Order: sequence, then C-alpha cells, then structure tokens
Amino acid sequence: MTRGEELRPLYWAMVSLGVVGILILSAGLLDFFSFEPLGQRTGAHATVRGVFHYDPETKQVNGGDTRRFTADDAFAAEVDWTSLPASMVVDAHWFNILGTDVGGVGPQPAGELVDRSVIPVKIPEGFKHNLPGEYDFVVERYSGGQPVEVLARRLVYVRSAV
Amino acid sequence: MSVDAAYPRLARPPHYKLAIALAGLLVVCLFLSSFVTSLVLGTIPSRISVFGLPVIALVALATWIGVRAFDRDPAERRRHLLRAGVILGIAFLLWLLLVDLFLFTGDAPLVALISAIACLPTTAFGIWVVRRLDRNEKEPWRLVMVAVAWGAVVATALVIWVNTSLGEIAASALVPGPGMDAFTAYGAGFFEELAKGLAVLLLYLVMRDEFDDVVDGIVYGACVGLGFNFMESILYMTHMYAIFAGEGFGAHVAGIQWYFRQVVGLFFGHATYTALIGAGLGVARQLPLMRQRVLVIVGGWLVAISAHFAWDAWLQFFPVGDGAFALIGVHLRTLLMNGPFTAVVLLLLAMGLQVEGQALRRQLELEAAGGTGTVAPAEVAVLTSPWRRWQARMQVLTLSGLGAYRRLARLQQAQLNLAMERWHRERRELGAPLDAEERLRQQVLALKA
Repeated sequence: MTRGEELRPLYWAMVSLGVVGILILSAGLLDFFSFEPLGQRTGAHATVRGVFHYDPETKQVNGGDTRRFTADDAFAAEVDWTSLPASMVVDAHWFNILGTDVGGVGPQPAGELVDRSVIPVKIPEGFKHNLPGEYDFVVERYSGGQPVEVLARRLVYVRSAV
Repeated sequence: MSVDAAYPRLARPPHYKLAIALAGLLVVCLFLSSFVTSLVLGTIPSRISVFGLPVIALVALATWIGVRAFDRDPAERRRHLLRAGVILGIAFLLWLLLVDLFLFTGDAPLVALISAIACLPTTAFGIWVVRRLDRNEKEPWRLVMVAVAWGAVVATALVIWVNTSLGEIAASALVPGPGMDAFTAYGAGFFEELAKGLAVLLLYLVMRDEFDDVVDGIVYGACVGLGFNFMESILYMTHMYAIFAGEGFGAHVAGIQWYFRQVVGLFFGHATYTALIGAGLGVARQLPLMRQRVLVIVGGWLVAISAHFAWDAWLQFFPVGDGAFALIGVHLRTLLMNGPFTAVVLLLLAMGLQVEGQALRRQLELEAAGGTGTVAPAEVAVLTSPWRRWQARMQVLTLSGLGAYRRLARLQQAQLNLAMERWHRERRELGAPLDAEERLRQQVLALKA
C-alpha cells in the first residue's frame, strides 16, 4: 500500500464530514432568516413608560420606574400603545432567565391594546416566587403570523428572596 | 513515551514557533477582549477580567514550563513538571473562584465545590475510557491531563467573554425565539469549538512526537471536550441551584443537570465535538500536502461546529412527549441528535486503529526481519494484539511478580514506539535525525537485556 492509499479513506471521510458541516450550517442560516426575515425594519418604536411595583388586587402599578426587584415583588411594565400605529399587530411579553414566557398581551392591533397598558409578570404555575435572574420585557411587531421586529425592550434584575 | 520521544529536537522547528505565536496571539486577544468587555458590559465581565486574566496567564506559564520539560535534560524534567502542575492547580482554583463570582450568589462556593466533587468521578471515568481507546500506544497521562486542563480552564475562560457579548448583542437586536436561539447557537458552536480546538491545535503543533495519527487526535480532542464539559457542568449546576433554591428544589435541579451533562451527555456532547476536530488534525498529521492538511483540519472543525450548533439550535424542536414518555424522550433526543456524530467519531477511530494496526504489524515484521534483536518474529503477533499483550503481561505477573510485569509493559511500549517511529519515517513524516530511531532501538535492547 502506498503512502497516499493508506490514508485515502480517512482523508475522504474528513472532507465529506466538512461538506456535511457546511450543509447543516446552511440549514441553520435558513432557519435563522425564516425567523429573522430581512427588510422588516419599520423604524417604529413603542414607548415603555417604565417597570413598576404592581398590586395584583387593584391591578395598578405604583412607585417609580425600577430596574431591580426581589423574587417576592410583583412587578409590571407599562406600555403607551398610542405611541404605535393603531393597526400595527403587536405583542408584549416578559421572559424570565430561562427564556420562559411569564406574562404578556397580544398579538393584537396596537389600537385594541390601549386599555391593557399594564403587563405584569406572572409567577409560573407551581412556584411560590418569581425565579431570580434577568427578566426581559419585549414589545414585538408581527407580520405573517410571527414576530419580526423588536419595538421596545427593557431588562430588569430579580434578586433571590432567600 | 517522553523518555523515548520519537525525535528529540536540537532546535525549535517552524511549527513550534507557530504554536508560540498562536499562544501569544491568544493571550493578547483575551487581554483586549477583557479590557473592552469590562468597559462595555459592566460588573460581571469586570470580575471575569480581574480573575480571568491571571488564570490565563498562569495556564500559559504552566504550559510553557510543561513544554520545556519535554525538551530539556531528563533530570530536570520532573522539576519542570512539578512546577507546571502546581501553577495549573493554582489556575484551576482561581477559575473556580471566578465561576463563583460570576454567579455571585452567597451559596455558590459550597455549591460549586459540591458540584465539582460530584463531577470528578464521572469525568475521570470518561478520561480513563477515552485514553484506553488508543489500544496500541496510549498517550502519556501528563499530556492527557494538559488537554483536560486546557479544555476546563482556558477554553471556558475564552468563551465566557464571547458568549456574554453575543448574548448582549442578541438581546438588543433580535426577536426572542428560534431566530435568536439560532444566532446564539452559531456563536456557541463557532467560538466554543474554536476555543477547545485551539488546545488540540497547539498539541498538534508542539507535541508532534506524541501526536501520531487520527487515533491520537480523537483522544486529545475528546479529553479537551471532557475538561470543558466538567467545568460547564459545575457552572450550570451552580447556576440552576441558585435559580431554584428559593423554591426549595435547587439541589434536585442541580442533580438533573449533573445527570444529563455527566452521565447521558458525557461522551455525546463536547467530547464528541472536540474529538471531531482532533480527528481532522490527526489525519492532517499524516498527509503530505499542505492543501490536503488544511482541508481535513477545516473539515473536522466545520463538522464539530455544525454538530454543536444543531444541538443548541434545534434541541427545542425535538418532541419529547409528556409524562412518563418525556423521560424516554429526553434520552432519545440526546441519542438521536448527538448519537450520529458520536458514531462518526467511533467509525473514524476504528478506521484509524485499523490503519495503525496494519502499519505497526508491517513495521514490526520488518524490524524482526532486520535481525537487530529488538523484535523477535514470534513477538509480532503478540505485540499487534492488545489482548495478547495483556495476556503476556498477566502471565509474567503470575510467574515473576509486579516488577517483571512492569518491565514487560515498558518493553512492549518501547517496541511499539519503535514501530511507530519506523512507520512515520517510512511515510516521510519526520524531519528528525535517524539517531532518534536508533536510540529507541538501543532502549528496547537495554530493556530486553
């Protein structure tokens, strides 16, 4: 067996694996652009008035705009939906540190959400407190049945209650 | 095989200089990255800057001293290795401290320590298994442990910067959901495999005499991956504990993390990805043309990145079912998503072992026919079969005791090293003087005497 023949199967195996890698990464690009389609920037911005302590009884916010809470605190974001065109389909959601949706409204036209400006964080079912960590509040524009553009974003930090 | 290194160097070869340049570039990149990140991202990355840079400097210093140990007088080797070991140990402890600070919870030091203790036996088992896969010529423990340490400390330190920065970019620009997941998966796949693969690349450049072929590449790559997985497991266990401790089931969630990362995913995740990079480098080690070498190295890296990407990005699409089926589903998910890549690694390993085995048999037969006395014709069949080698050692152990067993083990290893050296010379893969081979021959004869 010559010097080249000995390693030929391994050489071609590695080259083929490289091609497989390119195919998988290309599929990943398609996946990415199907959820993040190009040319979706409208320039619109939603106004988030702030993130406040929230009273679940009265369903009202109180105090000043805050960035830090404890796991026992109830809190909510307040959005000025009139800052967006009334026909624009939007939603607003809270995501906890695990990326789980923990409360939100929509998707609906912004004009129909005017009386739902306060969006509280819900404690996940079976839990006693909010999970500690970063919470991401995102207002998104919808097109073709999927979110395509971020119109506003707020990040707050929740400290452990123990 | 440090004593019988295939070709002791009289001067630093070009690839050695390339390795030094790469390591230097790495440190500079980390320094710049840490400086920029600490300015832009605030408190947590600043803490990483403060503690991460000394860790990297210490690992770089330990590696340099470790490499010196292989190049210097054997009498000084022990001293150098001891120093390198102590410095690596300090780096490791500092890194654990960094992990704690990164998580900045009051419970973290104890939880991190318990997590580390829980991950040690499983990772040690993984390293033992991987090293044993190299049936003909096991890699020296010190190099295996250097690979593990680099995977655990340097690679994880490198990617925390990048992952933090990419997370910030994704959060500020992308819609939460599968698109953002794909973006972060691209980042994790590319940068984590780059960081881990660099360790294997440095071994390939610096330790050519201990990096023989695709089998060695797979072993070193998997060891880097196991080291990375060890540290990542501690980080996730501590992190998950901190999140769920307030609900009273922090330990339970940390335990689940341990099971899926240290039991189910021990060989299926990082070990497999980095083994694919190692396979590419191992095949490249024996190819004559630069173009071919680059192609297989890039091929290994691409498939490793894509395997990692596929797991991170598409995990959520795999249906795991409900209730009792979920338990089966999550195991099946690992098997079906990462299993094919692990199977490819095993296939490459089998192909490599077959090529290596045939070559060693041929070289041993030629050596026996040469009449130098290093290998008797009757020994060839024993030396080419791991099972028969073991049987021969056990026979000697029973008849003559442990000392004789060790002597025979050393002799068998030296004979295989000589055959390996001959194979590399036949393939014109050595730029070293012929006396290296003669020196191995003398060593075998001395052991026989």
